[in-house]
Amino acid sequence: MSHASSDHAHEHKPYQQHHFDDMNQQTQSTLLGIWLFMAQEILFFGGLFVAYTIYRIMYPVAWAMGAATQNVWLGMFNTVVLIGSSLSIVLAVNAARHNQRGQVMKWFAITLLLGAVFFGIKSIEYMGKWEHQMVPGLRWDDGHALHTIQEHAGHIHGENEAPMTELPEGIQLYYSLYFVMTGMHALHMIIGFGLAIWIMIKNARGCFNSEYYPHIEYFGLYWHFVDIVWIFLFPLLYLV
Amino acid sequence: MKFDINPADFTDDHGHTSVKGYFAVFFALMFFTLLTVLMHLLNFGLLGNAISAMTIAVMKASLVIYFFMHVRESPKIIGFIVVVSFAWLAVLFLFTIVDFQAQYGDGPGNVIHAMPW
Repeated sequence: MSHASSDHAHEHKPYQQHHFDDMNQQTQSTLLGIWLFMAQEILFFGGLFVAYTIYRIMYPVAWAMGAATQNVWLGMFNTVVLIGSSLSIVLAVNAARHNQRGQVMKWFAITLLLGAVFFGIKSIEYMGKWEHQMVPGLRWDDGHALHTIQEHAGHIHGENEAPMTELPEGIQLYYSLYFVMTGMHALHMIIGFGLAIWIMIKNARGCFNSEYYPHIEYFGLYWHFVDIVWIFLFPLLYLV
Repeated sequence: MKFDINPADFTDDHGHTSVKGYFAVFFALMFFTLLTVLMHLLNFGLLGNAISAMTIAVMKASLVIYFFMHVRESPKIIGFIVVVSFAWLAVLFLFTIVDFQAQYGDGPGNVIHAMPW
């Protein structure tokens, strides 16, 4: 007995899932899915940005003074580093498209290195605030905070006026939002590191070629999103 | 060295952005980063600083989204999703601020404090 239709030429790529008609449909569907995830992430961070906006309107002095205690140059350096890592990851995706496995590894390694530099600077900033006892909820001391703010932001209060005797209203809110927003951003970067290492292992095993590299492409999108969040965080937290 | 920019170099044969194009976007982003810090140092006041910083941030984000995130080379539906996501975010902002005004408009939280006119 012969088979019903042996001319059913199943030109299946090994990486095409069965519920898709062809690779084009699969690619378009997965791209759409990843972007819907991006939409969710925008709203996820959006909630924090809305909270920031409301409290900034309520406590402009606290915001101006809090931001003045931040190191703008460290923040700018971090911005440059993170945008650099966005460049390196887009070059990794480009290399994947051209089937250059070694180049993919190189650009991924550079991305992780730049991410680590960002992390190092962030840690220095966090430790500084810990030392100055300006971590709301965990380690906050009014006296130390007042001293630090007078030192960095006394000019906002007024140079010829007597030193501040009390903290501006809402100052702890500023620092809370600083830690939560940058902390959530840092958490996303840590997740990104894990994903990147997983992808580098897959790349080393030769799982990707110029036709099929969705992990690399979509990780690129994720990493760019993390960069965009920082592009907004930097001016909002450091450049009030 | 002659500074010769040919926009055609930024796109390769298949309509994708070339490596040169990616570097061009990167340098544009660096320029905007320096610009935003410079404008902060010039200090246009609380509202002025906010407007200039956010304008520049939106331009930087647009460059990243259009070029680095390949929206340029993606199906139109993707661009639509990007725009709609930010529109949805704008709704979140607008409705929250409106509600906040309605409840706390009498006190220091009135948004009028953020507007000099």
